[in-house]
Amino acid sequence: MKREGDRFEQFLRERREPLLRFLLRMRVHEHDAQDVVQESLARLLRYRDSEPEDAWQALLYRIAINLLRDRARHARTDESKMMQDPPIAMVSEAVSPEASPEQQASDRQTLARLKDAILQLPPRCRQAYLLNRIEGMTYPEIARHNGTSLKAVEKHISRALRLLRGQLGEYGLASATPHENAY
Amino acid sequence: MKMPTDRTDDLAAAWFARLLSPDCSEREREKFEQWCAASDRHADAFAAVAQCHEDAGALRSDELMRAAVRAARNTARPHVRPGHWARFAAAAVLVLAVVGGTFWFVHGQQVPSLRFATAVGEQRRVDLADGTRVQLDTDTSLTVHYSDKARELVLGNGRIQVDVAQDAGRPFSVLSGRGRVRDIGTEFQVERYGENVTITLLTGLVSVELVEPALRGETGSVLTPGQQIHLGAQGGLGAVMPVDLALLSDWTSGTLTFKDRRLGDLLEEMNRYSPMKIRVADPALSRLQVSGVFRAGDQSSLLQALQAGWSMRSTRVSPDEVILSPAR
Repeated sequence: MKREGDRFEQFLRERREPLLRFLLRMRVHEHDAQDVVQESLARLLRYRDSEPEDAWQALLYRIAINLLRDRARHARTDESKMMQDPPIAMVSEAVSPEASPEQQASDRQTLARLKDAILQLPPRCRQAYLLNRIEGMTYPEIARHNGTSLKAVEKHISRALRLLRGQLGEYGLASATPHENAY
Repeated sequence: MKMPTDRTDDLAAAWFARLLSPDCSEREREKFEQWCAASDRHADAFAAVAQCHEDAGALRSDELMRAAVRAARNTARPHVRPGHWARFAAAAVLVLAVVGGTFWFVHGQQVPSLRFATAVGEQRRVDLADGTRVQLDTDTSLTVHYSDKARELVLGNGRIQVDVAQDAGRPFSVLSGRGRVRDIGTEFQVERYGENVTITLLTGLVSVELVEPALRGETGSVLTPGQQIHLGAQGGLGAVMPVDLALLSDWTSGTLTFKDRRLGDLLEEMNRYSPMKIRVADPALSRLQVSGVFRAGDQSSLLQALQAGWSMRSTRVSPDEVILSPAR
């Protein structure tokens, strides 16, 4: 487990600079960007044990994008309330301690729909997706297991995600965004 | 809440899948970031795909998902597995399509008949001359009669799923037991075990009627997608019932999905695909509700799941029979 920890810390160190460049590219002011980097990496910590290493990069992008959205939303609310606080003061986001019963019910419903959608995927696609997401196998492991190429595995995963998105439409776990306490 | 995905959603999914790959290069990440920064819509679409994938992780301990993974693990290299669905074996199927010595009369016209059959545990797809596709399940026999004026299939036993090609000049129907299904441009399934026939509609519209002239007409029913009707050795057509379309076509890919089904039903279904039959010692056991996803014909995985998940004991009483009993 120590080794895993080292890898995670190494990942955090390595991705700090690239993440900052990404945020600047996303038209975030440099000094806000530093905050978002800090916050994104801190949030990624929560997934250190639950998410496989290969998923960290994509997850980090997702977290950063959501943080940008939240900041933009808060900034708009502030303007409408004529508040004086600069946007930078809004970074610290309270993580809601417990999801409300309504949120929990809606999450259960979303998960049930997601489950049905996964079971309805075309066979090869479903197989690859289940092995990746439910069984936690990496692309190379799936490729070896199926006797196919890495590229073929990626194609199945890509298609699975496309179909799942199409099936589910606008959705999300009520308690997952923007508070990230789905697990 | 079904939503057609647009090009951006598709790209977002493709990028997400790329980022998960260990061979995704720094240069590609760079390209992804450019794409993401090019429009808010791109970044949002990416975040939505990522969220969906993360949520799916919450299903890791779900029982039905665990069962589906066990089935998925056994699905390696499906295209080389012998006896598996002959997706790529169109040519081989043609060889098996024996032009029968018998002739059949369709609308007073004498036409040759083509016969198709599958063995226990075998499934195959047949592409008929008009573009109609028929998938044959395990232990199925089917005869095809095509003339200039009509297209007629006769299901002797087993189960088929038909995706009918449009041909306004030649009506399409399937005869099975005492029933006749008339198609109006559709995809449907017909199942026949003994004298029990079940017709299920996936898309389009079909009418179902009894073959006996005396009962024809008055007992006809029309099905809409997601509906099913039964008929037995006697009596009229059963009531039209709703079915779960999501699980209906599973068998065509060699997978069987069971959601809160009686163990007795599950075993009956699985036993159709294997010469090795699994039975229960105590009828009370067959009332047990179980969920799972299995490869058709993979009796040993089923036994493993039942032993591990529902603490049952299995005893092999003969080369082709296994008896299940509650574990002591």
